[in-house]
Amino acid sequence: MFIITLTYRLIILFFTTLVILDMFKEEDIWNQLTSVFVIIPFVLRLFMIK
Amino acid sequence: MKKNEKIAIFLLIFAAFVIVAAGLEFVDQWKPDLIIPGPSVTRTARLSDYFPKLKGEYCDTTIYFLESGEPGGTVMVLGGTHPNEPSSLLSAVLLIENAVVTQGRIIVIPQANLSGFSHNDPQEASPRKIHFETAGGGVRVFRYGSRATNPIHQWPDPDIYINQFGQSLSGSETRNLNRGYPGDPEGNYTEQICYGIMEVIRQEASDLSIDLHEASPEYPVINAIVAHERAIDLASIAVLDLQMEDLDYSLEISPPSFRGLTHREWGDYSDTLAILMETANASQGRIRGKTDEALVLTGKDKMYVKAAELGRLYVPYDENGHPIEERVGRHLTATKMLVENMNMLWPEQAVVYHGVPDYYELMEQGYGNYLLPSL
Repeated sequence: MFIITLTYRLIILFFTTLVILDMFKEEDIWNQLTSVFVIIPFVLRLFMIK
Repeated sequence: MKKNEKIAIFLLIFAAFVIVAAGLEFVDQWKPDLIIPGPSVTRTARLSDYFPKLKGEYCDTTIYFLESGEPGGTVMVLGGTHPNEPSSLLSAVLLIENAVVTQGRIIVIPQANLSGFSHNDPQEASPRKIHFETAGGGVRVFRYGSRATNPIHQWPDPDIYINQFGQSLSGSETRNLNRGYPGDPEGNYTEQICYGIMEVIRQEASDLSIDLHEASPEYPVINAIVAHERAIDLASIAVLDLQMEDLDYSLEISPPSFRGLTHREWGDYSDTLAILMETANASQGRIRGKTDEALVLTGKDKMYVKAAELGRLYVPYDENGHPIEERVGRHLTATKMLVENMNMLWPEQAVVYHGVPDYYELMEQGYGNYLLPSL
């Protein structure tokens, strides 16, 4: 269980970082906004709050 | 700095605000409920005292002992198996805060699946908390949780949950406390809680164990007592007594092939007489309308009134709903009837108590009137 959780959180951290980096490259504001809606649940999950 | 990068920074700050606001709400749901030990509570214990593996885990719930000091039997009452069925917790709380035990003892576990109280179900729009004004003017607050263990404590769900008896259930049932009995010390988080509760029953030699529940009004087993076959005589007499009090109950024998539930496994894996009871809770139903605290507390719902007119429900339903006082009153009155009849059938294991309001007192005075005031 601990290994699975750790792996899962590392995967979330990886994808959260990718999404944030992509936000800075993205020219379309609507796509940037979409990234925000992905980041919010990812961060809550990363810290195992929800 | 480019314009899109400035926008990205602004949006990240916005996301941080949302994350903090949402996070604080979710974390607030982890805070424990106030339950005040009443006149007969002599001590408390934790589930980990019976199954040490649970020590330090969120699920390590509190167990209240109401002991008379006089020889007699032991009755265990379990609330909060499903934290979205509030009358179970609220009935257990009234027992803890009001019961005066004069013979034997009562063990109460008000929040059996404590993890389930730490979140509620996505997309159900459930209220997070319910409030009661006490007689002294203060307000007591209790969490309204989820049917199942919090996925931050147990995950991931399998596609299919195969229980300890090889039966296939939907994946989310792996976090349902009332599917995991008799529990497994090496099993998943929920099965370990089940094992801990079984150990309480076995080590404390509970003579009669009662699991309190609620069900949606369209569910067939409602306003019902489900009894293990060894408890069926006791339950039958109690149902007759309840009918004399104008409280209609149906009586169900625990199906031998429906495994993993309290009324089956408590009876099969210990010497206790196992009982499960259900009341009508619209806030967990599938055809309810607006879901809010008022629905939880009053049970008033136009959709259910219409469903009753169409003959689709298993309980009478009118514009008066099914208030929490009625539901708690049913549980407490039925518990009293079961205990009194146990005393009649097996006098050597009698448990005698008073001070707990019955159905009619609760309907007249309200639930909050019987809660101890918070200091």
